[in-house]
Amino acid sequence: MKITNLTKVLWASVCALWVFILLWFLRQFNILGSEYGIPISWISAIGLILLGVFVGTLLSEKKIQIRPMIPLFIIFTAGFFAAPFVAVGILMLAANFTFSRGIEPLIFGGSITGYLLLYMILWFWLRKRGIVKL
Amino acid sequence: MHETHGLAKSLYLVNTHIILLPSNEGESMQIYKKRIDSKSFQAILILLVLIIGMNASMQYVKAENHSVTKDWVKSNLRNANVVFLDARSFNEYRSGHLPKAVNIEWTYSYDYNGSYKLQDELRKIFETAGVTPQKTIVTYCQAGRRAEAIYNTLCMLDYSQVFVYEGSWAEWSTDPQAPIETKCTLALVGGEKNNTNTEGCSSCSSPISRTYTFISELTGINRLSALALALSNSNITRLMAHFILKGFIPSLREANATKVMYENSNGVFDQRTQVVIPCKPNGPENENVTYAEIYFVSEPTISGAASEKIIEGKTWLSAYWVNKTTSQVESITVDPCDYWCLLYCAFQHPEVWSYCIGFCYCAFAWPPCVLPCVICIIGLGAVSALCTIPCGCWTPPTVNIKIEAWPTTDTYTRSHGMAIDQPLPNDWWLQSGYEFKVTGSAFTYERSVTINTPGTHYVEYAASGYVPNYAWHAKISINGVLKAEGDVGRFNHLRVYFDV
Repeated sequence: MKITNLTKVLWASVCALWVFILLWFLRQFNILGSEYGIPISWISAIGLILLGVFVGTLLSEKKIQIRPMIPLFIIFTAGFFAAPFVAVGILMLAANFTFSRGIEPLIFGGSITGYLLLYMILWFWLRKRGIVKL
Repeated sequence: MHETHGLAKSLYLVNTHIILLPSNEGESMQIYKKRIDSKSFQAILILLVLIIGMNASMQYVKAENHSVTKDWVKSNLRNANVVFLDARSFNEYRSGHLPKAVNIEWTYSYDYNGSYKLQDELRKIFETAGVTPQKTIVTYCQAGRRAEAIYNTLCMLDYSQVFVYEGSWAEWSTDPQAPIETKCTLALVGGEKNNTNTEGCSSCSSPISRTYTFISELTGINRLSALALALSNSNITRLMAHFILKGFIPSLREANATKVMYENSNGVFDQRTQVVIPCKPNGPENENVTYAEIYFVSEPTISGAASEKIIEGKTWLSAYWVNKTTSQVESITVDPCDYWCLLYCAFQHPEVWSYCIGFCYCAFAWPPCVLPCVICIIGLGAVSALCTIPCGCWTPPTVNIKIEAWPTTDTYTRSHGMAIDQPLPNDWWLQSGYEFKVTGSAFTYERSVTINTPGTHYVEYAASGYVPNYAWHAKISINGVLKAEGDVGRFNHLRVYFDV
């Protein structure tokens, strides 16, 4: 498959993700009723299928080689799952300060986002330094 | 393909006979065909069809023989051996029912998860209401369907004299000759006989006790949603609850809200927000059968959109309700900050996690994935943050108020009053609730109060003397910090503002 097509699949799955998140937000705020629960799940599922197609294409194009990546993938995924725990820790600290009152969601969501972005930067840096080879 | 089949040996279940098929595909198919062709298999199949068919016929015959007509009902209204069992909701029942009918809503047969309750529990429920096996029971509802459900329950309990009035209320209520009763002969709730009210249905009891039992059993991270389930899903007809913020009641989002007046436990009327929530007997997506009325108080909040949040039923910290059996106010309080709730929020969307891990790992191998990875991480944070709002992590702070006062030109004993977040009325010393001290000499008064809402608040203090001839001088400190100082009298109040 051509690179351009690969990019299209990538962005199709990104769009599906954002449609899903947008609908989920609308549902959370009760702008959409419960009857949208099933379509939202379907959009999410279709997005994941697109993501699967994309990853599968990457594999078939040999842009990613799975075998040497498995140990790093496990470490990477574990680090990802650590994010909410780190966020709770930050929130527990922040709860001691008056400024945190009422903005816990921002602290929590921001902690997850911040931690994961830092984590990504760390991995890129390790890769750039040649410590992690992919 | 061959390997896949070899991974698991299929279990093939036919009429309690378990046949273990071998892993080899060809051999498996041969044995399968052999089984199907065998006479014993065919015989079992025919038997099954016969059993199912006979069962269906029996059900039909049973229903035919166990239904009664309107005329039969009319002629047996005064028969002491006949019990009319109204399977509708309490609110339908109280709007009108057959004379002396008892009300056990059909959903009482089922547990909150939709399965039948234990037979002993069911027997207790029915027998408490006078629905005993020795009597002839006639079930009815609006159109007969709910009556059939409760009929089946009674059959399961080996009641032999059970009938369904198939015409039910739809037929009865349209007959001008048919007597209708609106008083409560008996409203059975949660297996407890509450009262026999002859005054009218408006004050009949409600099944609070069972709901309370259910709520008190809730533990763990799912208790918020479980409480939501209990409130929206249990066999309650009327629940008076007073919700003070925080928490998460996802299934209540579609509630309708209206303003009502409600008498609280102190006998004081105050305005609450009433939310009528459809109850669903077999799960959140089912049609409503009965409803709960939940009263939200529109006070503390974590943001300016308090009332909207409350109306949506998303947030709460404590729930209070009146147990009409005991006339006591009961409550449940959820931890102000539930960190498990936060983690639950963070992990509740595995699909978003899948996206992010996929995109971000791809980013190492293929640069175009970097942007989707970053976008996804921001989305993950946003999704988690939104879910976090109702986890109730804001703890109401305690504020220490200290008033030091001494007379300057006054020589008389005076009343001293204080109000928080409301101005002192002109005749505050004549009203209750404001005075905290009566003295003619210098004093220091300290009080700790819990402030439930973030934002700016104020305290107002006054003495019942007059400025300038009978004046007092006062200092007000908040959390040890002097905030205001000045002369006070009955019309000269000293007010300080503070932020939480």
